[in-house]
Amino acid sequence: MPESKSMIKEIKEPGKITVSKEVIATIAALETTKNKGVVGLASGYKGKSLNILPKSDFARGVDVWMNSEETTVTISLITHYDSGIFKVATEVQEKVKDSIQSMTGLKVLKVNINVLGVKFKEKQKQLEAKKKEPSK
Amino acid sequence: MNKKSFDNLSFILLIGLIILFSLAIFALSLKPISLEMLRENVDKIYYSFYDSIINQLILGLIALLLFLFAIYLIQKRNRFSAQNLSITQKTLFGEVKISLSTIKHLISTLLLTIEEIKESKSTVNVLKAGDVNIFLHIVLKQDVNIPDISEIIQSKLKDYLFKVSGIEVKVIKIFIDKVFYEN
Repeated sequence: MPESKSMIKEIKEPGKITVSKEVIATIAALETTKNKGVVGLASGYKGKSLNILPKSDFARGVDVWMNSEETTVTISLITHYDSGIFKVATEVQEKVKDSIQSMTGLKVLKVNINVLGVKFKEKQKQLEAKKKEPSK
Repeated sequence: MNKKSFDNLSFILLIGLIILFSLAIFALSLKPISLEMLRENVDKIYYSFYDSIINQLILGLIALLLFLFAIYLIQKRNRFSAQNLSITQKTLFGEVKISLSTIKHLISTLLLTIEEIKESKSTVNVLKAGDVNIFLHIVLKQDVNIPDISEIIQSKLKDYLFKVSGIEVKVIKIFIDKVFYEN
């Protein structure tokens, strides 16, 4: 019967796999937060302070451009003060690229990093506050 | 509607308003109608418009919306100018952008470690060629040799910024605003 033959043919042929932008963003976000120098991902400013994203929503800190074969990601993040911003950024770029390529098979053209801020330790904050105090 | 779509719509609306306004002014410059005809038409529109209070309410509402739109655009511009400027460096894997506010934070943190400095304020300029210039306004503590401390600040800051952020600073200009004397 013609109908069943065409059905069998459809089942035997491999289906198309599509990876969504959200998946790329999640992979990138997960890999980024693994780096010890990264405090978290950010989505810009809320008033005067940075909006650090919670883990449930951290993929919002990643912008993804993609077509069927290639992708470019832009990650907005905050680093620890004593980690070396540039070093952390280049490490994240390399790890995210490898991660996306191995997990999705897509070619990663670029991994861009936006360092929106730096988190300071309590000691540094105290030092800053002490200097601002008026002397007696 | 997400933020990006709203921003795009706002932009289109603004451009539309500017185009309409420019066309209206252009039409007026051609003197399309005589003064008498203009007066007659204005009178007609005026009386028919103010016949119904609803027309006035609609006009008031449009004015309010335009006012709020202007406030929104001003806020957006201020946020952009304060926070979206950054220094870009190309790497093997893409670009690394470090915001100017981050650089300023790093500068103020380093200057805190220099005991001779009482207060400081920094400005970071990024020139078209990608060169970075830093201007420091400093209040020093008393009995400090100014040329020596200036050299130390410039050297430490340049090395520190390169080590932490990979940024090569071209110029560090120091302005000693005041010397602080303790009583």
